[in-house]
Amino acid sequence: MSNPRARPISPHLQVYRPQLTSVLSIMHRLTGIFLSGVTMVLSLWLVNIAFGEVAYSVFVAFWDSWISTLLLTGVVFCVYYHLLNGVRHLAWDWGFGFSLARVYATGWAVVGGSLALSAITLVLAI
Amino acid sequence: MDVAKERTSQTDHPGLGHWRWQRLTAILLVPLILWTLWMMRSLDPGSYLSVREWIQQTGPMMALIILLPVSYLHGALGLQVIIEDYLSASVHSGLIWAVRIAAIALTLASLWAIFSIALA
Repeated sequence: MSNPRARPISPHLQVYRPQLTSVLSIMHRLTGIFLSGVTMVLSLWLVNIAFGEVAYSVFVAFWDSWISTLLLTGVVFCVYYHLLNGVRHLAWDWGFGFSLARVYATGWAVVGGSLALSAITLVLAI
Repeated sequence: MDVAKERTSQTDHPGLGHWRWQRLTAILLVPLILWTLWMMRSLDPGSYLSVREWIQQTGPMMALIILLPVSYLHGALGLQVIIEDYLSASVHSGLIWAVRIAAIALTLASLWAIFSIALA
């Protein structure tokens, strides 16, 4: 390798047989990319509000459509998934939960937890 | 080189700043996101007046002012790692800088919007 101090790069996606650990890791990155887009939409929403009520009617028309409900469901799940799995990553950074049994247990907890929190949030919101 | 010296020399690795900021923003975002979601119970995005009033309240306004810059920093750091891992080295610096500039521009636009809603 040309740079001996370069950080190790993630393995290529195709060489691994999918398993809980790799799928959750890839999902963390995909939800991260998606949430970057969501943050951009949040900014557009704020700028839209700042432009006044006439400009905002465009957003209201979108908000009343079924697509926004579908999208919001996805956003809520991605937020909880990335947040809970992020806490799992932070625990690893401090050296906790590294045994294979723990990695699987916390992985399933993240899946169950994000589904449960999404359901609770959507029931309260709708 | 003995292990102790090797360890000391690793502490000035250029990737360390990135790693620390990624974790610091992550730790900040956990309570920030939960707090913002909790306050969103009283938000009705379908009504312009209600949305304005919601943002003008102290809690949501403070949350948004902190949430957006921290989110964009966390997002730019995360996207940088994904770009480095999966895209050709020839596009790294160009794309990473494009992400950074977009993050800064969107942060400024968001803060401008929040302040103009607050002062209106």
